[in-house]
Amino acid sequence: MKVSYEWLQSYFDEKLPSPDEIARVLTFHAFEIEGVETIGSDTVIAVDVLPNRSSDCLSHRGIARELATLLSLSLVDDPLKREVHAVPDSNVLEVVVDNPELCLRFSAVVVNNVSVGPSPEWLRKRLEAIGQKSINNIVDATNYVMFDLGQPLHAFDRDKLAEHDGGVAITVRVGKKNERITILSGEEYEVGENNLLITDGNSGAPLGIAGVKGGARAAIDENTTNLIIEAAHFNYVSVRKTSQALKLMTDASIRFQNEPSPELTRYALAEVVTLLGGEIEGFVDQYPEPTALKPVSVSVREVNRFLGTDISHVRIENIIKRFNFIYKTDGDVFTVVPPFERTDLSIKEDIIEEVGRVYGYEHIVSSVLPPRSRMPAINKKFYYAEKIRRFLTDLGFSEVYTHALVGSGDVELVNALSADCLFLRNTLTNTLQESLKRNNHNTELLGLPYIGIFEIGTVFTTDGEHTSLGIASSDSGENSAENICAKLLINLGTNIKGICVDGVCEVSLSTVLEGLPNPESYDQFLITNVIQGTKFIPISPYPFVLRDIALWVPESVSGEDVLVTIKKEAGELLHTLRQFDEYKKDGRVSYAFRLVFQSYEKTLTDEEVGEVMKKIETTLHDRGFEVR
Amino acid sequence: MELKKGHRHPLSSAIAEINAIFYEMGFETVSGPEIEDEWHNFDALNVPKDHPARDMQDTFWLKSPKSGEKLLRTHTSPVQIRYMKEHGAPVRIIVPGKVYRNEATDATHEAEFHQLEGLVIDKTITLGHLKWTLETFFSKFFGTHTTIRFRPGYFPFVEPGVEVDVEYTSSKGTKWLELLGAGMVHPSVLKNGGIDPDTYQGFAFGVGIERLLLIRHEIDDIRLFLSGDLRLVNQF
Repeated sequence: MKVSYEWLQSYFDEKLPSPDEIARVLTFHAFEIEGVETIGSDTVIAVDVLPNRSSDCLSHRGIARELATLLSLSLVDDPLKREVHAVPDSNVLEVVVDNPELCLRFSAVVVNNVSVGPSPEWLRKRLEAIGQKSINNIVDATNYVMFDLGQPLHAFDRDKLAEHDGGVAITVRVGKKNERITILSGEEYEVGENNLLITDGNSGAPLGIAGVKGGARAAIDENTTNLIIEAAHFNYVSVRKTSQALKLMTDASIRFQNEPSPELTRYALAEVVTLLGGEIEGFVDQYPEPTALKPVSVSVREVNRFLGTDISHVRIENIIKRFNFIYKTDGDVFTVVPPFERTDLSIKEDIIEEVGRVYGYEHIVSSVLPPRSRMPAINKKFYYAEKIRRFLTDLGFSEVYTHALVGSGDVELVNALSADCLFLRNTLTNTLQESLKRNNHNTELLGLPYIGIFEIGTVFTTDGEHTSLGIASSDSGENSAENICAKLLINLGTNIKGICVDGVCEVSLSTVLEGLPNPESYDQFLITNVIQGTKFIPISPYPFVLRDIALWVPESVSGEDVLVTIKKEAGELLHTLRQFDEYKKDGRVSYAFRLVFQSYEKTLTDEEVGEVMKKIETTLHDRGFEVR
Repeated sequence: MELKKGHRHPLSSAIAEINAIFYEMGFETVSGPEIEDEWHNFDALNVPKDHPARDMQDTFWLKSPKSGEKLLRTHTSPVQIRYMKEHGAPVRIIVPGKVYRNEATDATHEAEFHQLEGLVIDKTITLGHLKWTLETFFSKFFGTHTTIRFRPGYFPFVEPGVEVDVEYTSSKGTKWLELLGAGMVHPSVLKNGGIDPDTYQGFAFGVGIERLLLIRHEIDDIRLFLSGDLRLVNQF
């Protein structure tokens, strides 16, 4: 919700703190702030109003009321506290609500002899500051009231409704099968029995999609002189479903789906007629079952028992006063009657939150959790997964995680992100094979003799989900997936065998676990902080280049010694260095090393790598070694 | 050939660390299914059907031949309900686990990621206990004394709800990071878990585990975690 600072200021006599200070106060006591932006002479604060407060705070009055509480100020003139007299009754408009369960209230006013023209400068400026286009004085006034009070309104040209016996009529009803309506912007929509419509009661023609968008039929134009302005309360589920089905999300539908108070309609109509001028012919108000205000009780003890604070009775009472709530006290219990617009306040926890956030969460002091009477239970799956990780990494295998959303499987998604993730995996084998392939390209970069990987993850079959263990290896000898998997299963003490396909073995860990004893403690598997200090080195997108170097050195020179020399001379382009050969002959040793070069900035050329190699060879030569 | 040790995935190392830290504070590590029903994932957590709060989490729905609508859990919170129903109060658990969100992926968003859920329920648990628990956890996890702060927040399953910022010092300096959602468990959630809200109360929190690792290890792309790429794993 974009909030104009000047608009907010109009609610107060006192000069408000700076926009940045308001943003800070709201951040720590009410809402997240998405940004503060200067627009002309005004400043616009983007307030992230979440669903619980969207009923009252998608409005300038709501935010102003919030600020009044937080800054201990009073509103000069609260539009929701005004005396409103919706008289006289209209003699020309009749309203029938066919579906009262979907339209709790329908209020309207008939206004004659208005002239359509531009809006006053001040109003246009406010609307434009919050990103709204000014259209004409009528449409702008209804928009202004929505952004001021949070109640959507709509104006119809009365002379475009069918007349019967000198009167016009509005019927609120659900759509008929395949009924079509052209909305204000000119697009045509097909609606049906699930969509609530505002229609011309005499001709039956649709005038608007209730709570979502007005229709073109009775739109205001430059010749409009007589108006019907409606402010209604539509069922939030109905508005939400219609808005989703038609893919038509509007400022009105967003407000209605968050259940603003049905009491708002009369205040909104009162404000809009003040803005518009013209002659009021009369009002209509269909509100058969007014909602009652429900008191909420909370005690001082409960407030402190939840927040972990020690806020006094007096202080809590002061905070409740700052909200301007009607309340009474009985001993340490406050019974609060939330104002009608605060439809979010219905249980004691809601009041505790109001007290807590105004009091300030920064005052909450850390408090040690009470000791437990028994030790926590040991998680069997976690215990054995850790045991497996330890066993396999000791054998040189590394752990990978792969995606569960894949191109084929047994369980299909209704709304996948893309064609290659339409299903949930029913095996780890496929994604481990892909991982093996990808890592094989990088064997040298990783400085590994072969790629050995494993994964412990959930797979999903027609029988449900279970935890699977997969092992994959590029080695076909001692370190093949078959060998390693067999060793692991023996170590775990199970007779279950893995299923091996093309270098990948998989076994249901869930099934294996069923046959294993419950661990009594985590013993050696409670590890901490092993990787805490490691900083990630970004992965270069450029290809790597391989070079080997072999040399004769005296027997007294260690491979490590040569390695250090090479590393020092090679500089930043050297990514990986490993010794891959060593043999002794006639009092000398031959060492062979593999160097992997890679840049973070570009693809390396032969010349660039050649220069580095030459530098290394020269230094080794200078040390008296024979480069072969 | 000399045998080099293999590497654990950083997510596994982090979950093991988390488990150790919370075990010391008396928490049990529990898990739950990744395919959930609508009731456990939403309704029981005070997120009614057709309520705008549902828009806060984009959901993957499953074509399910069996009874009822199934989905991929959007958070680890359904395990709160499952655990409460099975064990009753008091409760002191963490739930590290995989969750799914139907969101476009980029360097900071993955459709599949891991969440850490915490739930403590007893007769006198307060927001002060939540603060201590999180400060203790983050101080150990980041290896340095760490302070946190609460701001008002909204999550349907808690009331009061708070956003939790963590003060973190990296090589680039110290700043407040918005890391968790938390709050006092909503009485409807306790009821749905079979626990009497007039006797018991407690806190819950949720945090993305990948996010913690991105920060602590200065990893530049969340998509690396599930890439199966040892160029990430073998650095840890």
